[in-house]
Amino acid sequence: MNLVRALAFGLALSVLLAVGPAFGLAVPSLEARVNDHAGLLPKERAVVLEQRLAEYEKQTGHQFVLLTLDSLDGDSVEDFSLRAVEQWKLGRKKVDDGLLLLIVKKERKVRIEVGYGLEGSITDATSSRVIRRTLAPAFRSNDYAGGIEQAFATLMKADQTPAGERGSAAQRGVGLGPLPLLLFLLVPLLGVFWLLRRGGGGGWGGGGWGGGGYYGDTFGRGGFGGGGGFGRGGGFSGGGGFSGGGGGFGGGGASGGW
Amino acid sequence: MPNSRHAASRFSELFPRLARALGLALVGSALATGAAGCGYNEIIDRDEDVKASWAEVQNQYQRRSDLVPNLVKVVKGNANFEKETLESVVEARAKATSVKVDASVIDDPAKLKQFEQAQQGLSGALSRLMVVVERYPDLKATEGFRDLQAQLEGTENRITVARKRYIETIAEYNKVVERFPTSLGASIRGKAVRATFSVAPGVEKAPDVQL
Repeated sequence: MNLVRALAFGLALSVLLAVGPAFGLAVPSLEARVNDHAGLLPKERAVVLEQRLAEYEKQTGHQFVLLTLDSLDGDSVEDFSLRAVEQWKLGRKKVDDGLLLLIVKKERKVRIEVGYGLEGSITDATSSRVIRRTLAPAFRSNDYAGGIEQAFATLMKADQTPAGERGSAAQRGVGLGPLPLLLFLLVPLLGVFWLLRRGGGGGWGGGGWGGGGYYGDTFGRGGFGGGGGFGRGGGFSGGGGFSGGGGGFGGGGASGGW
Repeated sequence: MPNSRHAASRFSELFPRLARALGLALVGSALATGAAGCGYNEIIDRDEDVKASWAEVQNQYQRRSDLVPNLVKVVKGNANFEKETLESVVEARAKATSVKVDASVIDDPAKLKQFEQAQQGLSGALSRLMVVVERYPDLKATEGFRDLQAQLEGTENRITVARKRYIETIAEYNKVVERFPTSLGASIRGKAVRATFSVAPGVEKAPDVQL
């Protein structure tokens, strides 16, 4: 198990080193809800936290994820955090209810990145307080696991407090996408069919138009492999079951340190 | 024999229709693919992207502007706080809000620059305020101030993100306008190259008010 983990880490590191300099620090792949690359959590507590976040997502649909890193290699915590959530797309599409807690060990930096849809309930001030009052004091006394658990508990509590305003997601228009083009293509074709039908008996049996191949937003919802069964290290054996759901972020949240 | 004659006449009767129909279909899809290939529709999508990301930029600057009165109130509560610093924030905010922005800013480089400069004036005044606050530990320690500071930092970060995305969508839009063959569709629609934010060093970064 450890060997596999070490190998995976080595591989990830070499990828980081290869891609790193050009675009800043590369974002590791999303393996589970708990991505403890800095090894801040004891195994058992990481498993418990994973289950807890999975449970929370099952109940609310809100996708909370932890990422810990050894170092940012000179990157800024805000830049890196945004790139991470842009790549991972935490939260559901259009609902934008993802949240990332990012902890960087060497630089002693923390960032809570809040999806558009959660900005109303988890305000910047809330995130900042969680960093100042919960994470920073715990981390200063080296209680990483306790701080992280307490931080998620506080964030969930704030999240469940009836939200006032929503984030700006509601204001962002929903485009028509390729609809106009499709219509443009369909209209002449339908015209042809009509002409042919009038022609009668042409043998063009009514070939039905198959139901639109539209995939809903649902894939982000329950699409997680076996309910919290990600033992750390064995996580990537599960057929890549974990992924974000297409949620959007706009830079809301707070940064801090300890 | 009569049977085959019947079939032939049916075919000749059907054939012109079929030919006409097929011709129509060809012309129709050629038109469609031609239009699609020359960016006639793509430019609309990119144009919508630009408008949406501009709206986000404007939203976030507005959000910051809305925070300023609260910030000023909290800082003013500290009796001996430097008047000049506060006044310059209030002034910069007034200047920034006096720049009228509507959708036309997107197509008017001079207006865009004016908008940006006014907002940068407020950025500067706010970061000076935050530096001065360092000398008032009592104020700095209050929860009210810390919450406002967090909101301000968050908003500055949102502005950074919104600007970055605006610059990106403008780049995509301009690509469609400038490159052949999509430039054809763009010119039919009357869409021209647009100006974007200047990426001046130090400006793109949110003022560092980390304590």
